[in-house]
Amino acid sequence: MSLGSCLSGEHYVFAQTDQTASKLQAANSAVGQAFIAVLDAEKAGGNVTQLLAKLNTAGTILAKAQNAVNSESTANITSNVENAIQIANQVKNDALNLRNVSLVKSQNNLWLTYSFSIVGAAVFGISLLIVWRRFKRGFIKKLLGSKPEVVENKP
Amino acid sequence: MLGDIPFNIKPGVTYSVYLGVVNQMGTICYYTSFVKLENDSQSLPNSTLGTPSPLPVLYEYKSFIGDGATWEVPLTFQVDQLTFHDNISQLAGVIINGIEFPVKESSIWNADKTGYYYNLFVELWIYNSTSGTSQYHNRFVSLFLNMTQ
Repeated sequence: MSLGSCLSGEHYVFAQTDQTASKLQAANSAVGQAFIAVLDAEKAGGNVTQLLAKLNTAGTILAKAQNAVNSESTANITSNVENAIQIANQVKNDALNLRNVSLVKSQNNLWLTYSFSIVGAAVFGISLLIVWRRFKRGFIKKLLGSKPEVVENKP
Repeated sequence: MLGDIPFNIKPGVTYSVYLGVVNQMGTICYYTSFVKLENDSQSLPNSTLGTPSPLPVLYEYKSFIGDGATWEVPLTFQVDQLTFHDNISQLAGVIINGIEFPVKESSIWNADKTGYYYNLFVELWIYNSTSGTSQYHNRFVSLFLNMTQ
């Protein structure tokens, strides 16, 4: 009887260890995915400072859970893992939103740059034409108004 | 200062150092720092092959660092359950940042360097966003420790 309870107790411990390991794996995966989302948001030109701070919080909580496992303690492992997953998922969603907003913003900036460049080039071309025509007109006027000078040829 | 780096270690005394990582990878990075302990005869990470130490991880830190930014944290440690017998020191526990980790490490008396030597070292791992896994970044720092009574 006592051997039976001992064996079932051992089985319970093994099952719990497996469960903890799979939870930790899920949390690691969630944090990794959140990091990739933040990386994409940064590449799209978003300011990821706040997201990095949140990711660091998730990472610290996840490391705390892993350290508890390494130290053969069971204190707060499940709650820490769940906390880390929750923060990581939130960061991932925020990062996806930031990426989309940043992409739209950078697209708008690109169009704005194109528009200003085209308008600027047109204004410059027209100004150049006006200046040229004025200069040309002034030059012709000056040319027509000038009198021929007679110079005596002395032997 | 070199004089402030812990070297002669007594059981029950807490020693403190700072661990820092500077990110110069040109983008944000996800690092994991693994704290491990080895005795004098075991091997540290291989810098030539770029392989980490096969020893188990005691403590870990996770950090997400922006490009050009520095991350710094305290690392406190204390040796626990240290015994000396027949020119062998046996270490059964290390407390890192307040958490006790069971270890089974022993070190033979080193006659050349006159001491019982261990290495507390930290390996730097980096997250590869393509493979979705952390991999050893071929960087580590170690503290050479002489256990005393």
